[in-house]
Amino acid sequence: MAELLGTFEQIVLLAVLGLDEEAYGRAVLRAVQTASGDDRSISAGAVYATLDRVEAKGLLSSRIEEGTPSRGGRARRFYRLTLTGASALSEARRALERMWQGKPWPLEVSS
Amino acid sequence: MKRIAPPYLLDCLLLFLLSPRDRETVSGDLYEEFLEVKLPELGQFRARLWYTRQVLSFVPGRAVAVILQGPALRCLCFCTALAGCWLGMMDLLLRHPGFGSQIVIAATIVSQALLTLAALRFDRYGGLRAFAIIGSLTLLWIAGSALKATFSGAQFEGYVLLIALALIIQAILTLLTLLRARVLGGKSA
Repeated sequence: MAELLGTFEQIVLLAVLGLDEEAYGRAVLRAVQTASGDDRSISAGAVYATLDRVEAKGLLSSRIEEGTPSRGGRARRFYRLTLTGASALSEARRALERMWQGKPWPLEVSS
Repeated sequence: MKRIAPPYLLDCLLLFLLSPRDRETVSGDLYEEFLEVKLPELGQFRARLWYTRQVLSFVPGRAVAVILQGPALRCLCFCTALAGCWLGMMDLLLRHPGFGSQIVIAATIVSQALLTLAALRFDRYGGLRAFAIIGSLTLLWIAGSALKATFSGAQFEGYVLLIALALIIQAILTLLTLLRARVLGGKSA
């Protein structure tokens, strides 16, 4: 079985998937911060490091596009989920669903 | 009207912290977010605080990159190789009782340093990496024995302590670097 994705890697990949053609670094950062519910808890360093890592694993591909005046003409890097990335996400979801099967929700834990 | 920009020094720090590949794109993203969202939402002071926090969040990643991929480990290997040569030469010259085993240890230290350098340089050869990992475990054992002997012996030898500590750091860094490269499938992060 392939290595399962970490929770944060899954969040970043899902953000890229959700943004589709608009998935460049800043948009991914905002999507991840919005998903976390507290934009102070997730830093840019963590998101960009994860983007670099999952790209190195072949789960994302990227392309560079020219920058706009609003960003001082600096280029933008757009990300796209690869086939490997899609299957890794699917496998992570299947594994979680298997683990959750038969468990009551909301969880009831006796103290 | 004068346009408010992120602090210049922080911009320079950000460019230093980022890899050449990400330098333009990531700094552009943060610049855009600062100007378009944070400045109108938070005001100048808090927007700059936000920018500072984002820039500082790249420090741990950069530190790991310098330690695990940069010159730090190579430099350490070079130093321990020199220390190993020096130990071997001293043993050959002085010929204390049991000097044969000391020369074997010195040769192991030099070989392991060269092996690690080779594994870092030619990372496509998985065999080299495996040997370097085994060698690092051997180094840990040698350094541990040397430390034990140093602290239990009647005569405290400072240079042995220094070399043993350098070997332990080298072995741990080698293990972290090579195992990390293995997890990433040989690609750099």
